[in-house]
Amino acid sequence: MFKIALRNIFRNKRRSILTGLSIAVAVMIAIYMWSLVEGIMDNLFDNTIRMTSGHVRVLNTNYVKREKMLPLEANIQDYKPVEKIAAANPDVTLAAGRIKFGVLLDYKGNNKPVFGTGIIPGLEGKISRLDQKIVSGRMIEPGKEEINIGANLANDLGLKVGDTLTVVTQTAYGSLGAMNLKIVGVFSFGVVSIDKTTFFMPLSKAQQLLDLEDAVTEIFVFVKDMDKAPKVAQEIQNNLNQIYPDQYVTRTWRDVGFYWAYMRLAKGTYAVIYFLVLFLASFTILNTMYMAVLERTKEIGMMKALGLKDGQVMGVILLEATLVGGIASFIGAIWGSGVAYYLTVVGIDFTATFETMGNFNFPISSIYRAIFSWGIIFFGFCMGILFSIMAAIPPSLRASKMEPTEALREI
Amino acid sequence: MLLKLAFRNIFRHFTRTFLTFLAIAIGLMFLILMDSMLTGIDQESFDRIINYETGHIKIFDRGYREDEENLPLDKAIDNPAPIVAQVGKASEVAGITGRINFRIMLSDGVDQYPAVGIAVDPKDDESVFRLKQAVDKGEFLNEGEEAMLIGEGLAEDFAVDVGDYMTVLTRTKYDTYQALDLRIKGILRTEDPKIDWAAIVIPLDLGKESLDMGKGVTEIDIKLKDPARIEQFREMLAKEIPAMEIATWKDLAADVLAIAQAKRGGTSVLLFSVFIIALIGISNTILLAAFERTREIGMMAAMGMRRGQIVRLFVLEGAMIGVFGSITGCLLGFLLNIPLVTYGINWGAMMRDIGDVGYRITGASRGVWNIDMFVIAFIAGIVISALTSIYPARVASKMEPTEALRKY
Amino acid sequence: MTNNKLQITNNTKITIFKFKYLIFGIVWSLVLGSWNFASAITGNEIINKVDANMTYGTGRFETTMVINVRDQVRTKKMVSWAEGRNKSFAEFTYPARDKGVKYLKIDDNMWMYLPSVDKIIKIAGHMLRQSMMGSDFSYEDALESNKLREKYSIKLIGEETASITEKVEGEEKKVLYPCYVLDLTAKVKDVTYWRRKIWVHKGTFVPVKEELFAKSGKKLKVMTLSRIQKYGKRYYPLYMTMENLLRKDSLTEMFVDKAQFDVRLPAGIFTQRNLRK
Repeated sequence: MFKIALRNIFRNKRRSILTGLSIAVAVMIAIYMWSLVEGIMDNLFDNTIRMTSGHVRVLNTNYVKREKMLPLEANIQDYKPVEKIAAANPDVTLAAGRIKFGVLLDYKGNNKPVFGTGIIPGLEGKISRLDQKIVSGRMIEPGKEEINIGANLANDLGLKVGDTLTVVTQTAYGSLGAMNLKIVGVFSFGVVSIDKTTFFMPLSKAQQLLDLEDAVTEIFVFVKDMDKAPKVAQEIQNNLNQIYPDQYVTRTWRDVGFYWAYMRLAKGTYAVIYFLVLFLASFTILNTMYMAVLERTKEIGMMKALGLKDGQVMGVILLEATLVGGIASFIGAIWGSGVAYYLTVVGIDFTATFETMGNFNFPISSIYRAIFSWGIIFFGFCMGILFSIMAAIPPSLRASKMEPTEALREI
Repeated sequence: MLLKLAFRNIFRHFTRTFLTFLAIAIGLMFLILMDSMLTGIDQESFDRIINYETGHIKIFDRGYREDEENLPLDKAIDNPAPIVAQVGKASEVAGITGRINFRIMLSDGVDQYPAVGIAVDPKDDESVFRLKQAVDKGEFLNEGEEAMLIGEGLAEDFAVDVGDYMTVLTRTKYDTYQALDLRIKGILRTEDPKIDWAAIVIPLDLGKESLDMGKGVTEIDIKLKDPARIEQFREMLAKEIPAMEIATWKDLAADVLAIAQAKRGGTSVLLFSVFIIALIGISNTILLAAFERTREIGMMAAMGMRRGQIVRLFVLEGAMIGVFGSITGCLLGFLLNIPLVTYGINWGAMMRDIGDVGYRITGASRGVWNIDMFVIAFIAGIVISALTSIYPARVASKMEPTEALRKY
Repeated sequence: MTNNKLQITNNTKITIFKFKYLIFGIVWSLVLGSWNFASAITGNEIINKVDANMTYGTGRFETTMVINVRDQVRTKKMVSWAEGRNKSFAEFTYPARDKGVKYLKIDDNMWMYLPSVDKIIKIAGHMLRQSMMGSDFSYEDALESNKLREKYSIKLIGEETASITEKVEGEEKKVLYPCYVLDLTAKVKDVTYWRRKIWVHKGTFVPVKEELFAKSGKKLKVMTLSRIQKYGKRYYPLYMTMENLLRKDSLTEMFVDKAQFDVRLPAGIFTQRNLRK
């Protein structure tokens, strides 16, 4: 049967190609668009996780309620033991204390709100990857009065590597803290909201500036499997409650605002759209194949005359559809993954557009990149074949029901 | 003569004709609906901004926008009434209203949190904005009330509900301390985070009085009947009130626009591919059908028809099927677009059945009426059918009649 | 009342004189049917006396500031010099964290010096609204208290005995002060507090209590001055409180540990250069 199907396909190449073309296009579209959308969303989450939420965060119970104010007094005192407890969890890959604080920089007579993060430079490679984002100068070193500021911020303030920035802010206990910080490096994450409003300084110096001896405002926790984050968060909180009852809570990356929901909604919407596109393509196949079946009455008559039963005839047609669909999907998949790959490497550059926009708060990279995922490619491929087969059912049924005499009469 | 022949041919190969016709109709219908849906999705994010934040056009006092981040009350439109009267008369204007935006600290007696206050006119705010419909719990404001509406997110942060009192701390136009104890009359759910998570709303007269604004407002908001004519309207306004600063919603909604621009590129590609697929579908059927009629063509040639006539015949057939297909496709598209535009698709509800979306986002979008698309689809259907008919006709008619007859 | 009358030399005669008039006035107005309280002492006059009391040639003060926010207590100490109402210089001496932070005020201008960064910052624009060292005082409060007559129309609305909570050696006690009650309403638009209510102690003309209101009439802050000590011809409060009613459980106290008047000021003290020293 397989051989018959194969021969049928190659006998009328033009027909086969036309049948498969629409599936190839549909699969290509589905794959490349999906890769792009997925890439953009991944980027959004990645940035949020690396800069704001970690996979899990340990926070003072009072901090959570007023988090928008970045209340320094609601901190994690004597944080090292707390950090250890979090790190002890078997699914945790990293637990690092951090200080997040807000500063009003005096800029052109107005107050410019900026966010500072006190970090342990050595660990940043696994967290924000600041070390890879330095565009001029170098990353800060622990224990020094140094600072890394975003490229856009440096631009806005008219500062560069070597200049000094005086940071004045309110400490955890209402005093005025101030420090002269030398700009040793400028970074660019390619994300406008980060490059415009944030800076990094060594944790120990942040503690000194803000009167937070041995304290941090949050502990970033990274886990092996981010979908397990809620479970890990609960475990850590339970462990903490045993020693520090009700003092600390944990939050996962999914708790950050409404991004999670919004992204899932967008993904769902696009999934529906892909299916609609594939549906149209499969309708095309159905139409084409039906037409083809009608034209192949003699062929089918021949097959039946040779002794093929109705079911087998149907099987042959379906097999043809599978093969054609398979090849078409394969081509479409290659094509789509090619486009996706290009978008992964080069991406779509919106830097110019984003920079002119004023208040851009979405942590999305200015260059839209797709992700290259075998999973997506395989799924697109399978969908193509599936839809091809489904589309072939009506025509194959029609073919199987043809009378041999009817067919032979056509001659 | 050819016409009659074409007609008869069509009905002779009825199944083939039907399949081709179906390909055209379904393909075009799909195109129209996809376009409507995708444009609607894009439009939705704009709509939210237009309906709650920007209206179509805003009028400001010169110098306000420069300082916009600080929401300066001293750069206000001191006497808006004549401007409103003058502009409101224009036929393009669907609605016009004035608002005051001001910085506040919102307090529940324990915590203070920075937010934005919006003073709206309970009578004509709804001619421009849809704030009134966004009151999720409680009621909208009336003139003269000492009450406020609060965004859903803020209400949650402070754990307050309808009936609770909160203190709005702010400064008047002259920088005098002002503190208003207001009862929460309603909770807003606009799905626009700038409102739900950052704003409270009070009646305009309360705002004018408490902020010592006299008759002034910080902005005049306009909604147009036909948003497509926004630039022309802006030009006209600029001539009528040269002293003021005018901004369209595009000027004002920078970041949403940036994302939308990105999305629109994707949407165009998607629509184009749908078009290509539909095109393939149509040409497929026509080509297949035509190539199978090689014998027929051979017979016609043998009967004395010239090549040119044969080609014209096929083109005519193609065009006729195209016309029927296009009409049906557009009609189907039209009919199915009605519920799409009226009720829209509630993506959020769909997702909820599949799994947990997480936050309470509705994410509904409506279709749009894009006449251009209907016209394009209609013409495309006919043109594609006609054109694709040429190729096989020419190929087949080139063959020797005997060769053609022998083929099957 | 009698005691105080003996101590006030200049004003006594005028006061008695005015009281005679008061009785005349009461009878006269009863006859005419209108009650005009203001014909006795006017609001403006009371404020004048308050000013006269608070104006000294020069002064040096050692003050302890205690900031209470919710359950936290922060203590700071400072030394300050003043010349008239327009010039003052303050330096924080405790805790170590705040040591060396200095403030300079000349007329309407204020500067701050932070030793940790060796920088002088002018406090202007939006900064004025911020609180001083996390206390319940804002920089604005410090600057505006001189301008009462310029900005407010002052009315004497009655007399009342104010009960002020005083803290001495950690112990609290309530002290009663018979006062004139003044109502101040803004007569210009650019004021920070639209309305103020001041209780002026009749004997010493120290404003023992002041309430500050927003334009809506909502009470925002309450300030008290007590533990009044006599220095030569003046009365100076040694205990001051400021309560921010919008911040829960928020109270700032100032204890004047030492006050010296008519002292010799260090040379060049009211200069920016002095901030750096």
